[in-house]
Amino acid sequence: MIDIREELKKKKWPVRSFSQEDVYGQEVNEGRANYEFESYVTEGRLSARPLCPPGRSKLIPPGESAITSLVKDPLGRIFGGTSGRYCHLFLYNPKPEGNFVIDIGKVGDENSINHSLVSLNDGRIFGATCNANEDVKTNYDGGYIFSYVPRGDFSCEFGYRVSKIELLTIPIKGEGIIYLVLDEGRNVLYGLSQSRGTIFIYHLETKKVIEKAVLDPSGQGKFSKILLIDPNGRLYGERQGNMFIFNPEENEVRNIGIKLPALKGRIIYNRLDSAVLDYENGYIYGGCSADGLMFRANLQTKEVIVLGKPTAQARVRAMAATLDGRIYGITGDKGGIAHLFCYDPAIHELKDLGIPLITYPKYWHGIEFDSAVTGQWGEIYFGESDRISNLFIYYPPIKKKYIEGKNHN
Amino acid sequence: MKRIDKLKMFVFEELPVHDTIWSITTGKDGNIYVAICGEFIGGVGVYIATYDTKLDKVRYVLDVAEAIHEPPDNGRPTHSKIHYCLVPCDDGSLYGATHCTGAPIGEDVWRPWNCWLDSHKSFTGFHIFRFNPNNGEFKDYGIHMPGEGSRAMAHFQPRSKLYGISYPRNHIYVCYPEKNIFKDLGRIGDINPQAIFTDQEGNAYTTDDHGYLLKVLVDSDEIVSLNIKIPHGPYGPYGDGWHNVPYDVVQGPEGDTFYGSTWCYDSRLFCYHYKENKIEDLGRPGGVEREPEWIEEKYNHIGGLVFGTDDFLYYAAYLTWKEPIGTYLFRLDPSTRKHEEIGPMMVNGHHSKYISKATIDYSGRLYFAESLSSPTRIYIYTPPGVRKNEVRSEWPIGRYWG
Repeated sequence: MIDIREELKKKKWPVRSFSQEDVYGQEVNEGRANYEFESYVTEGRLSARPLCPPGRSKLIPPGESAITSLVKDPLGRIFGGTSGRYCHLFLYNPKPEGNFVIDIGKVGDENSINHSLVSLNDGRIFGATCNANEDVKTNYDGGYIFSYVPRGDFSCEFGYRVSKIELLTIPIKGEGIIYLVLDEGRNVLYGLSQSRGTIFIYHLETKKVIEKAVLDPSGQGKFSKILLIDPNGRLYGERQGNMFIFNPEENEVRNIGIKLPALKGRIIYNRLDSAVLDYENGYIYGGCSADGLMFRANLQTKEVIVLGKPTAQARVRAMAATLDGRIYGITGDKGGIAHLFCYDPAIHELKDLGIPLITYPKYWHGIEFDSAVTGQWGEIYFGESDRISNLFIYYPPIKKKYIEGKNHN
Repeated sequence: MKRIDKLKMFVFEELPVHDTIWSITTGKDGNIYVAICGEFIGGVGVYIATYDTKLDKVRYVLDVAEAIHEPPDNGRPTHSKIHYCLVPCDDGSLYGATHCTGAPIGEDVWRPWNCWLDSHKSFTGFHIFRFNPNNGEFKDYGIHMPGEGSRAMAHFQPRSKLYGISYPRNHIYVCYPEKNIFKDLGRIGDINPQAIFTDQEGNAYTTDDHGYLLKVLVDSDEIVSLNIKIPHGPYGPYGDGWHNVPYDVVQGPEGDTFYGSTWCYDSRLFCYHYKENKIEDLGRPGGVEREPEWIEEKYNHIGGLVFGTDDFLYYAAYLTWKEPIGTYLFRLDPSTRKHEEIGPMMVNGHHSKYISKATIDYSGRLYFAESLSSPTRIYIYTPPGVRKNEVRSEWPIGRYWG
């Protein structure tokens, strides 16, 4: 009969630093609590909203609520798109009469809205869908462009009303649309397709689709799933490690001599995960997927400076700049645990802020995120992308008063 | 003070620094198996010991950390626990899953949030294993969720299917170890339930953060919310049942019921009729009607649920409103819903502070696992009419979940 008693008697056991009789004492509990709470965001303030008006409606169902797209409209409202079994369009109105999330509805039978929501100055919302469940959707027709025209939407104590979502067209047959940007001056949308990276134009008035360029004809997706647009309507993106510019007046994608930074030997795994265009200063701030590096690229001089890694993990899945230029973002891979970080260009500081934990209106660790947008007053909205997701709201700390001749901090 | 007749205690002296037992179960051989854990000390691994119910003797049968090649002195957070994840099989073996929160050697505290990004101080991930205590055969099915521990587990024997709950990300997982199939079904909340249990058809049940029952369908593995919640206090504004997850659950003698306790301030007992999807609130420990006033008073704990061969539901409750404060043994008559206090769980002046779970042997003796004392111990209670070595039950006894 097995019995390792004699071996146990010979073992030299570690010694506990506190009393053996008091294994769950007050001092231990306090020490543990302080240690644990050091890992959470304590700078600024976090809150979150569940994806429903509490007490009035059910949540967007678990498995359909991963928030993968966010946009702010001219009224300061936040529209979001989800991914999962089905995708939903939702609305969050931060004003007192709202301050809760409303599920506008499913977008047809589609399953993903991936960074593809735009808001026009007249309040119309356009979006696009893609296929996030490849084992579910075989014989995929392609992702839709859809529109939502807010007419008389309101939300208050007694209820809320929304309009209808309209599916418009499939711009690229057989492919989903994984990014959409708006050029309001030309009254067009630019989109990026999921597999071949087709850049296309969708004319809002004529509803015509024109394919302009293909980033990866092989269909293997060797390009970043992100587009940036400057006030002149020029697009920026990345393929095969190089940043490109696309001028819609031409039909040519041109490398601009800016390479994505990566750790040595890891260029082939690297994509631009998220980015912020600081047009006034001529910079792109970007986060890279392979190693979680943050960089700043000068669009004039083509100089790339690696700002560092906010945390010891890959991916920078979401990023947005608040009104004073500070950039807030989320690091962390799928299956990992997210960290919030801040890059302050004024003092060139990149720092980890910790794990997003909220305790109001509920106790919840924010573990996976995939979207971010800046709110009307500089608050940052982060979209959780878990099986059960919440709309997180981060209120950055207010900077100390500037005194001439002295540093900000 | 009242004493309980026929209550004795066994102390696991050979593991002098271990401090918790979370898992206790009955094997097919009728012996009691416990996982002896080191929660509050760094650098120790978890051990499985067996209490021979015929001989009243203990054997230490497995050094789990050594068996899964995760030595506790390698500087990494240890596999120092098997939480509610030691479950029996019909062939006499046991499935188990390890768990984290034990600190690396030389350290007193460790938390996954602080160390997730650390390549050396992150937890490797729980191992699922199978162990046959009769012949020593051991099989390690590996790590499927890096960084995470396994909080609770259930075994649906007809399909050799395991259901579990991971920590800290609070995902439900499904595993068919013999077929090398593992599925992560996704996140269910933040609070991390202490129990997952199965019905006779093989569906699994647990709750979300507010005590709403979730059902995992045995065929599709779809997670369905049943829109019914286990009872909680306080009621009124802000009394939404937050943190009211299940702590301990046992199958009722009726076959289509489960009896459970909640893991919350002001812990309560409940009965769940799963075929009707109906919940009964069985009240506070001892059936106490008075609403506890102070926060310290509310902090009671109910564990150690087990049905005796007399069909009473026995349970242990740590009560802050009694003098002396400590754990008391109760029994509930399911036919009348009346609670009866048996007495304090105190032997040789040691009054238990925390009973985690319980089980039963073939004769009807009850075994209660204690945590928060070092070394650890179990209590053995012989209910009236029960005689040691007189067989009153047949397999399966106990339960197939932790």
